[in-house]
Amino acid sequence: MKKAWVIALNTFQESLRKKTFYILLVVALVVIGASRFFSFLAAEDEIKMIKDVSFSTIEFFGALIAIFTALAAVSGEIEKRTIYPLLSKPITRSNFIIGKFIGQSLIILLNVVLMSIFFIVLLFIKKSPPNIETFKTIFLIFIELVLIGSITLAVATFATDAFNLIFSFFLYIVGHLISYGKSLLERVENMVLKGLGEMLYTVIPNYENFNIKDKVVVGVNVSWQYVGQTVLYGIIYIAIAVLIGVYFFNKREV
Amino acid sequence: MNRRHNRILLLIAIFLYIPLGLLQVKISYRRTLENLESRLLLMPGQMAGSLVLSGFKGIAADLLWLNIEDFWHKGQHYKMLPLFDAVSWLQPEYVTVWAVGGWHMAYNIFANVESGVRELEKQLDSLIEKLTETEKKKMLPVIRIAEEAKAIRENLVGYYTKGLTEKERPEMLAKLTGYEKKLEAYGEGNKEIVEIVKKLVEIPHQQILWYERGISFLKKGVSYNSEKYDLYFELGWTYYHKGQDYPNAVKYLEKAVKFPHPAYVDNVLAHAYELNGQVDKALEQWEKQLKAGNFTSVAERAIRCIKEEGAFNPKKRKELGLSD
Repeated sequence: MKKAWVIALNTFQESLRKKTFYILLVVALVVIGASRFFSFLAAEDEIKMIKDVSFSTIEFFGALIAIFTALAAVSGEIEKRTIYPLLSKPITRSNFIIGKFIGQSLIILLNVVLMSIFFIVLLFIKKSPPNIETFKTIFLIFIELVLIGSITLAVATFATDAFNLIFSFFLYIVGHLISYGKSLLERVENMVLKGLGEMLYTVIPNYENFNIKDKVVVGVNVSWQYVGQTVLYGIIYIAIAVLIGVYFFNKREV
Repeated sequence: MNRRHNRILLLIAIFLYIPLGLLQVKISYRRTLENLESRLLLMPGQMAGSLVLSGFKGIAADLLWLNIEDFWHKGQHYKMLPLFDAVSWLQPEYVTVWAVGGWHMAYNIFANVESGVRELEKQLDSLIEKLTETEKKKMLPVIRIAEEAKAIRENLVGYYTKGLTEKERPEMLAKLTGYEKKLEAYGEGNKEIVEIVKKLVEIPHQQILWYERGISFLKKGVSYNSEKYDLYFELGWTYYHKGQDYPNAVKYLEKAVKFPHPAYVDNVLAHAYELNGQVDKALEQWEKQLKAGNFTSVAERAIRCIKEEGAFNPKKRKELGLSD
């Protein structure tokens, strides 16, 4: 585990050195800050818009950072050939993948924390301090981003960057639409199709589970039970992604 | 790591899908229970559609809301209508959309419909003046319809409206439809006058329909937000203030006060009770306000007026011939 932690810290520091991280972070902060332009609206509407824009920005730019960090984590090491001396040391391939996963999760955490601080300061300026629902929403977004990152990392162990990039974005959209697919599936009568659909419904990550922002901004309260179940769902899925990543990386000829 | 271990890892990963599937069932159940479920939407335009696809319904709703604000300030009320539908599809729990939408229909569009009425009346008067006595006699049924439609229109203006309650509306609509049919069948005389009178009859008809649309929009909003006071109050207020429909006002205001609400809602309920003839309940309601320390001076005055003079509400006092 110590070895994985060393790789994690290295991945974290390396990601911090990348311009992409800062550009995305600055753009995200500008977008969150720009939500103040809605001051011509009624106070209640303005707060709603600030929350909508901020939650969506944290999620969208967080997803970009998660995907790009995960993409660089494996292929970057292979391209720069730094992976060869690394694997020749007493470091197992599972240590390498777990370390990369922890490192990118730390970067995602830093990104979410920075954007959230900016957002919360905005709320205080507008005299509408965040409630517990705000923090639940941010926490679920964070778990979703870690999941997106872990899936991208898993795919990075066996696929090219171009494929992985397209796949991750495609999965991001499909993962949000999957719950709509479920309601369509209920009307399918063909048992084979229905079975196939059910399987896909379980295999594809349901990112919509983590999406409570649209409800929270209009005053819907979310129970801790829901948050707990969704976090558990995220953790199990992350574990699956990391295991698959380790499996394919073990099989990969490097 | 040897091949065997690696396969075990894959098997564990596959095995983990079992608890994942079970957990998803629980999560889906809770999403429905806690009203977190997103409804399958009819896409209101490409902008909303494309944003909804990636899970940003709130942003899509906000962009459409900004368009509503824009049309609102330009006075383009009709252009706002599809947008109200779109935003309420996207975020049915956003009560402001229902409240503002209902208000636009029952108040602003209602008023907007009669914006050209003075001009039409002037035109009609000048055309009638030009008629000879024989022509006037011929046009008498049309002129009478114009006069009756004017009386209906005037009853729909201002605070003391008549014709908008649930009892009055069907009768009023039937009357106006009858006029429209008569005018349609009227083949002789000055056609220009007939056309103007048709427009003048159409105005109160449209106003009543817009009031109904406002009410039904608010009712739809209530069905999505039945655990909050907001839309019960908006609906109750619209019945009370615009429609002078006190039984319905009481019905919805009583529902509003069952949920956490601002103190002024109780005042409106007290007024609605009084105008609905439930003076005892009105008194009880003002006493409740007094006990709770809300609007105490108003409540004291209301109790005194009701007990000593029999009325507190200005409309009721006017009816009883009491001073303001």
